Amino acid sequence: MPKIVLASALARWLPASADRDAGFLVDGLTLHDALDAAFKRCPPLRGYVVDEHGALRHHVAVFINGNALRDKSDLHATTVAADTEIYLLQALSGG
Amino acid sequence: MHRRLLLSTRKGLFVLRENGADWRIESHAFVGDNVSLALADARDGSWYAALNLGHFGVKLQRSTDRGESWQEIAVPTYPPGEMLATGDGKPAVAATLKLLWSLEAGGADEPGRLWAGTIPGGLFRSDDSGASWHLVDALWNVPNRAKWFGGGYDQPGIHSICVDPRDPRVLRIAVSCGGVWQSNDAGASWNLCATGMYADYMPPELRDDPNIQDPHRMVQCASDPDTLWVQHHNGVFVSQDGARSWRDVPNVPPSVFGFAVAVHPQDPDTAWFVPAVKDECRIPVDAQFVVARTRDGGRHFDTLRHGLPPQPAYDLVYRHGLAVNRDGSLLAMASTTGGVWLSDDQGDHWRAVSLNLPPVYAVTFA
Repeated sequence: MPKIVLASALARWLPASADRDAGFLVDGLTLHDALDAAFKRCPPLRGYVVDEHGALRHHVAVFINGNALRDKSDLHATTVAADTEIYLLQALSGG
Repeated sequence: MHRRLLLSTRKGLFVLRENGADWRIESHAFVGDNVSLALADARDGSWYAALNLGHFGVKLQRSTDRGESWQEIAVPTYPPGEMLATGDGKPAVAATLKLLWSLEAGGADEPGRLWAGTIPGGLFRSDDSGASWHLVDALWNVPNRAKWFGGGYDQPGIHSICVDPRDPRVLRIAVSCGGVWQSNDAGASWNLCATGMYADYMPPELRDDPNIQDPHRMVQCASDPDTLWVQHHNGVFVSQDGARSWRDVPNVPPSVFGFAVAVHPQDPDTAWFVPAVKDECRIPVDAQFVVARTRDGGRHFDTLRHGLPPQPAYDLVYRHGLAVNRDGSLLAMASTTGGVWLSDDQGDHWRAVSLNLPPVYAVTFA
């Protein structure tokens, strides 16, 4: 299952849970679906990662297996596999 | 009961508490985070703090125990498909919450009702103490909104909400840059009411257009709610007929430019301003940090500097950085340089509580 890992700067805003600290193992074949699965498990996470229209926040960075996500505009277009690791962290801009 | 002051700063929310003759920092919440404003709701004693997290968006927190603990609550959100067109030629974009720029309690007989003004220009209502929010469609849908534009920020916003103490269904809001708007029916319909304001910096055809005026801050006298004062980008304006018309107040020393204004809750003729050099310069005139006060409705002004930093001082007071308490006995002011001052004699003398806090966005009596 794809795994979503949160940077501590993001995790500190969320209620304590094993997911928050160790990463979310989620179902999903696309980045959109994987994130959505994590949001369902931890509803407060959604507003920190995407805006009210579901767009990835401008100053949130996504790394997939160590590579920065290039096209942040279409989360459906990025596929993920069972062993994919997705890191969500604060971009180094905008702080 | 001890009086308290909430300071919303670039690095957290500071709670100052009166202790005899001293004011001391009682607590510091959201350490390191950007707190853009606070509300102390006199109806139930709850506090609200709006956060503008650089990476993770705008958040709202509520405390029911005077800041000992905080719970995250909902923020206003724009419905799917809502677009933002502005009057300054920028391409239309999806409307998303950029900043909570004003937050006010509803009337005493409206428990749980809150009003929130935002960038990019939407007004929102909550009837459950911020558990949920609803866009005020009637204002969002006025055709004139497409001509609003940002002043300082990229997008327009509502920074001032005055709930009429005689009837909480009567609302007046000020928009940068979109004039002043009034509703007499709790937001169901709206009228533009910035007649008399002018903007010399705009093209001549638009100078007197009420819909492009840039009020920086609007306040209403609690005991005489037909008197409202506005610190505008162009200068100072006062209304004595409930915002139906506005009169220019041209003689504020040393400058008519500024952001903050406060009006005495029991004396509509007494108001305070913190002048600065226009337009984008925004430093005290001659680096002399002063407060201007009128006690006669704007005919005459005093320049107050007792207890404020000596020249050179580059403190700037933002639009929510000056406040007067409920009975008018105490003034509080805080600056972008991290200075905080109080005055218990209407501004004649100021005393510094601290000169070394983070940049302060808003001061709120609690």
